[in-house]
Amino acid sequence: MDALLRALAMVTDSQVLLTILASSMFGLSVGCIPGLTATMATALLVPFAMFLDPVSAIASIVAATAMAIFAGDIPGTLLRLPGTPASAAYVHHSYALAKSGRAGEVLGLNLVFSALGGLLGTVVLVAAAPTLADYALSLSSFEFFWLSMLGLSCAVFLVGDNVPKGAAALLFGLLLATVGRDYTTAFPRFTFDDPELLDGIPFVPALIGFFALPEIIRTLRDPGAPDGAPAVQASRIFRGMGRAILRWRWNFLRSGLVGTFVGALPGGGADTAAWAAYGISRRLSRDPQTWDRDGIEGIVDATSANNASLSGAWIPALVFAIPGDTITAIAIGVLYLKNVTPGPSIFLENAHVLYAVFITFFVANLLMIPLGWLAIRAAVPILRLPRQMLMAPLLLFACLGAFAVDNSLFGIGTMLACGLIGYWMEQNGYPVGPAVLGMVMGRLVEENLMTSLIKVQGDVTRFFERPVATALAVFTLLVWLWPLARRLRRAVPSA
Amino acid sequence: MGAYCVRPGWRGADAVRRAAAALPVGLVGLVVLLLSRNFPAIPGQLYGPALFPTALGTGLMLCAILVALQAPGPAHPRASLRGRASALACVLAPLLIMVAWDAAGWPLIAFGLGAALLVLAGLRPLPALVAALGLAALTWVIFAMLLRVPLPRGPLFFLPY
Repeated sequence: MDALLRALAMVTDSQVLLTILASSMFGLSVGCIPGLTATMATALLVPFAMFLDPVSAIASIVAATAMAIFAGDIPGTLLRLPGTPASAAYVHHSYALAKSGRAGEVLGLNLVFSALGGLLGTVVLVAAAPTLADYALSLSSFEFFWLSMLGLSCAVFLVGDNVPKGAAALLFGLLLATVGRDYTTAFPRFTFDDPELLDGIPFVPALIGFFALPEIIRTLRDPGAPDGAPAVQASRIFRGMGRAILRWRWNFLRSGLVGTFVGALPGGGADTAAWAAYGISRRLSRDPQTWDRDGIEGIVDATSANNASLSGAWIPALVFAIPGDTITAIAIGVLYLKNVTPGPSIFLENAHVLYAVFITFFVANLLMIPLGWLAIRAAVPILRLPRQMLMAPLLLFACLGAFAVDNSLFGIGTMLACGLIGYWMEQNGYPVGPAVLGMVMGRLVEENLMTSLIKVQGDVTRFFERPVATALAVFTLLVWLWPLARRLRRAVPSA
Repeated sequence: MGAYCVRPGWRGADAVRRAAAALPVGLVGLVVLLLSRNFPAIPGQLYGPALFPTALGTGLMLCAILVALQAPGPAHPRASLRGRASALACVLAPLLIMVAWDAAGWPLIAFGLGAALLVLAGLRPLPALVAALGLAALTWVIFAMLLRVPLPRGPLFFLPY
């Protein structure tokens, strides 16, 4: 109790509160700029965090990342440019709804369910951290492999009815992830003697290319097309929110928990959490046709999950000093530099710091509502400009975002190449989303596959030895058989 | 962009659209399979760096066959000359940025490219020049001064970081 009161006093200190406020605004700004990720916001904060006390330093990272993940939804909804990779899963639906005049509703839902997702994730973090982290650590490469396969399979079957094109897009994304040094031998694959490719294709420029460039090209190519600039009245984004919360309460709870769980898995992150929740939402939807057409259900699920995953990632980070994602990896580094050692001993030696981190999560997620509302208001004037006029600044921002990741022109080249591929894919009916998912998860899938294969020396039956692995394999197989079952179900009544 | 070149109504249009959608995927799969054959095996191990790409290449070729067997998607209407020029400018802009990066510096590139793209998008020259100037200043302040991204100044060496 003493530690809790001490933590409360620390967080309510004016310097900490000001730090949270400033970091929140910084996170919102970074998240709004396509190409700048929450990880980049964290990395940019670290030099400033060095001058702060441990609680302020961690509070700045927690607040900035939570805001950046939400803010990524704003350009995603209004311009179809996901501000961060975590918004990529549902950007297609968000933008389509915005174009049909529902931008305010979508942004309101994004804001409220992001905050609620973050709060739910924090509750889980506080209540179940040791148990969940322990469970995640007990999973072997077999379970991780099947978990990845399940996630990827869901993605292919959620993109629509065209499974071959969805699968081709996913395989292409996985292929892009193989570029660079091989996991097992460090042999350079598909690098064509270019040293820039040894570490793989830079993800953020590729993401900007896949999502932003095709949209910019299309808009400029067809200026005579009806202007689909979505309209939003920021003052009305909360209209009907009470009903929406009641309506989607189970989706929110389910996806918040899924997001927290995925976040707690090493290698999982806000983007993977969003994709997983989005896929599960589609699978479990009572009305898949409305789900496809309307899209709100998927948005609620994914936006709840990506913010919840941020809290989830802190579970193994704080309890076992194993980062759940890159953000917590940076945060662990900051804690060490501040002479706070994460791990089981933190509960005994620095319990007040731990509680302060928990309280910071609550404060940041509560602050998200007013600050997010202000951010949406600030974005509204952009909509008043003719859409094609926005494309020049967007192209320059996209180029700068692609450059800023590694301060390399190679990023701009990657963005251009991926943009042209993305444009071709969309023109020929291939969905871009699974390709990006393949890029995100490719390394994880291959690592777990190779680790498992080396363990079993070719005996593939041992992939099904462990009960959880077997269950995940069966689920994966069921997902693969789903289109067949759907056809049979359609055929039976008509026969 | 092959889908754009097909004249709707032409008898071979379906076949061309199918081929345009499937062939590149199959070719990528084939190239991956050929390149993967040169990857070394790990001594004492059954599997090496070629396993995963080989599986992906095979999968891509299978997908290409399945796509080729499907009915083609709808043909896209042909864009206007101005629209095509704008789209081409959009593709050339990143290339120009890479070529002129150090010599011209970011502010001049942003100003010139921004103005050109805005004019192509339909804005009159004077407002386009003013907007491009604002854009160059804004991007400089955000990226070079606030985020500390090392953007080149080019001839405008007096600009603050």
